[in-house]
Amino acid sequence: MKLFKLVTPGVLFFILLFVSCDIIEPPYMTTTGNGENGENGEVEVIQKFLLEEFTGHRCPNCPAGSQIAKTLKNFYGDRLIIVSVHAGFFANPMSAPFNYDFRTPEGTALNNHFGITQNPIGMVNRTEFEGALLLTPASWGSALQAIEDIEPGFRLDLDITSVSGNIYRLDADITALSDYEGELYLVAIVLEDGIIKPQKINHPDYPDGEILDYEHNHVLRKGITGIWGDKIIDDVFSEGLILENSYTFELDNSWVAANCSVVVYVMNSNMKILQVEEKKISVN
Amino acid sequence: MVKRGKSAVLTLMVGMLMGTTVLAQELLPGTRVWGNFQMDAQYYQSDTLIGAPEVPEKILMNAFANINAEFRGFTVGMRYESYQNPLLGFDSRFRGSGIPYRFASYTQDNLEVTLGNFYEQYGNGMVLRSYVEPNLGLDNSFDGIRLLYRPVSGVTLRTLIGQQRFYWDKGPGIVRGGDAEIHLNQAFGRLSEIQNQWIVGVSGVSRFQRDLDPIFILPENVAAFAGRVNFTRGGLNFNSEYAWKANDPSADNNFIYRHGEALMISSSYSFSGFGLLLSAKRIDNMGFRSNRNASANDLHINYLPAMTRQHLYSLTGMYPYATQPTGELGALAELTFRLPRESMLGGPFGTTITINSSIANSIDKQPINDTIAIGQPGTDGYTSRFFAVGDEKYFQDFNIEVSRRFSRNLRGTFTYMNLFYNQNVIEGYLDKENVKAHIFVADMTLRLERRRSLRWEVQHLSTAQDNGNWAMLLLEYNISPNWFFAVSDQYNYGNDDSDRQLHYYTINMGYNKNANRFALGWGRQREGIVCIGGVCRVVPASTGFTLSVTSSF
Repeated sequence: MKLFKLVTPGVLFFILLFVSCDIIEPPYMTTTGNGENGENGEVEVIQKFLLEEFTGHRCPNCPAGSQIAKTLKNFYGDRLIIVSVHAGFFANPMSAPFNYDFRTPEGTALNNHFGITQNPIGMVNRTEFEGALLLTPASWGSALQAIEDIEPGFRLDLDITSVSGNIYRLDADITALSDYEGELYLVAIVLEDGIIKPQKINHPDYPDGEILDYEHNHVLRKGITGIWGDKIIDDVFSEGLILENSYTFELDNSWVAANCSVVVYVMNSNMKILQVEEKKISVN
Repeated sequence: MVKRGKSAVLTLMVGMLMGTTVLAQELLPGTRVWGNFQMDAQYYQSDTLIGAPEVPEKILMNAFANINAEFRGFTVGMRYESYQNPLLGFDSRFRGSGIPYRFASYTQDNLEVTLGNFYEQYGNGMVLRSYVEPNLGLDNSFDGIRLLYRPVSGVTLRTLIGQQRFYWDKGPGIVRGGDAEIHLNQAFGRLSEIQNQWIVGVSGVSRFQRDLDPIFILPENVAAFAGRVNFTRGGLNFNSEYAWKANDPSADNNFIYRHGEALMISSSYSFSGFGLLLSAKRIDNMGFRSNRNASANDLHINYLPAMTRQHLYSLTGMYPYATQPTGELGALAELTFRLPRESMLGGPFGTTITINSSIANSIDKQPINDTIAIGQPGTDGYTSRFFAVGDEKYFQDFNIEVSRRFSRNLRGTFTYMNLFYNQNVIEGYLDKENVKAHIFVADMTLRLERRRSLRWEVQHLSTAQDNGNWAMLLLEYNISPNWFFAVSDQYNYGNDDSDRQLHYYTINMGYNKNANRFALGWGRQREGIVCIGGVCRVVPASTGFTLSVTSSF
């Protein structure tokens, strides 16, 4: 019994010594920001971030992922640019009303290259966070936070002008803010917001598991360049130099031009995103 | 003594790094050196029929060698691993070569100190288990410090602090843990003579990982506790453990803040010719990793034991069960008995019958309120009544195995399995049908003259779901103790798609000599899942030559 009296408190002390715990009380999420965190100014160039969200209209958990992306967008404002890539199993058309098809050759190429097997999943600047490149939605914020202080290496200036009808001209100027060595690629893509189409959903408000008037945003519609980009620098890009690039592209008649935007990003040979910019298409 | 030992160990390590264990033994008489080596290589051939991915390297290889040495209570060891490049089905992040595992330890006055890498398990592992399983590509060893102390007889105290292996790097979380186990009969003198043997234990583990998230308020320190009891009296054994984990929003649970808990109860009773095993478990949100964002088999801190039978035959093992850490209610019962020889049913040499059944079901989950979906991130997730059964069945099997010797030279094992397998839950699909299958296996061995034997397996799986019916035939010729030769064919004759009614044939041969084993094979590997203890890995389809070499010293 003496042994018991000695050992019991000793054991409990011993275990508690090495164990600590934080109990979090609700609310578990901070209130959303006002978008001022990183508003772009005229003079200061800031590093922006690309969140590529792999999704599909047959994916019931994807609306929750998109909601997290939206919350982050509210928090980071213009610093965060979202691209919704509809590709893979959950994006395959099925019977009506899910018979529409948001897939693109560019999205499918990304899906296959990065080995996407589950949705929703995403990449933040195609930069590994704690050893993982493909991140579930709840990790996106942490991944953004981990890289938010990096200094921008490039400035992107975009201009879109109407040529005729649905044909537009994109001017993308890239300025090196410091000396850069290595290959540099430029990718330009078209997104569309505000597409109302059915979506599978896992939420008690929708016991049928469907929301027929779901608003799809940031939908990848097409590539202006190839999805692996145009090589714009082979070896050295000296500070202060400006590369001017021009492209002509056409919008599909079924797309709402006023809801479309162009996203341009530069990436290195490992496909890591180094800077990104988005520009709405203005319709007169 | 300690100083002499330390210098000796340094000398020993230098000797080992110089590449010859013989050298170490010669330098330090009395040193014990042991280890093992394993290499698996495959030459991949193009085979679009079975959907085998193209392998640009053509040849891939996984290999490792453990080398350990012990001298007067001091032990050092290391494991060299080489993946050039990793075999199909293993994570490409293993690519490369190096020494991911090295340690030094010594024991003095009942205190064992380990520095460097180590494996550890507290109780049944429900709050902490690190282990290596090369066939799964799983190694969650710690790099840090481990202490084990036995202050008095029957009392074992363990503690550790470290980070876990993450391919060639370490996970971001720091794991701290302590465990105390008391063998009551050894610790208390007046209990030492009684038949009832009692072992009790308690564990506590916590993980620290920084909160970087701007939206979620994440717990940086997450703790888990467990208590266990083990009772033995003669052939009766009772083992139970309960574990509880604090809020741990993670990729595993879709970032909900609900606590986790798990209960495991296992009891067995056996005497000559009879064995009975009954087990049950309930798991609720008990995934625990040293990186809250990790997935697949990465950085598990704990281990949730499987409660289904580990099937060894190809077709009975085609649909293995993977433990569901987010929620599972499971049970297993197994009865083994032997019909005596010379009895009417037992035959001239006796017959052993094993009847086994297991089931895994979802747990009951109810929404917290009318506006929050079950499992919605940033909420408490759901409520659950502890003993309520969910409405989705994950897995069920019923097995009868009869082993009988028909004559001095002929014996056989006959197995029937009835299976229910929820592909959507276990394999992560959305709209696959549940598989219901009947599987029969006959495994016969005929002993021949001059230490030769012939073994053949006939297997059949019938199902209307997934890929339909399969048949399999295997023929194996053994020349004991050195050689074996085998041919087999798995034929998916019941596939609805006639283009996929394929044969998966293999030819294998092996040579054993003392502690060395060489195996050479050629054939097709069907796409599937391999599970060990409820932890699984996807195996892609492939065709080609395989070479396996294992050795120990």
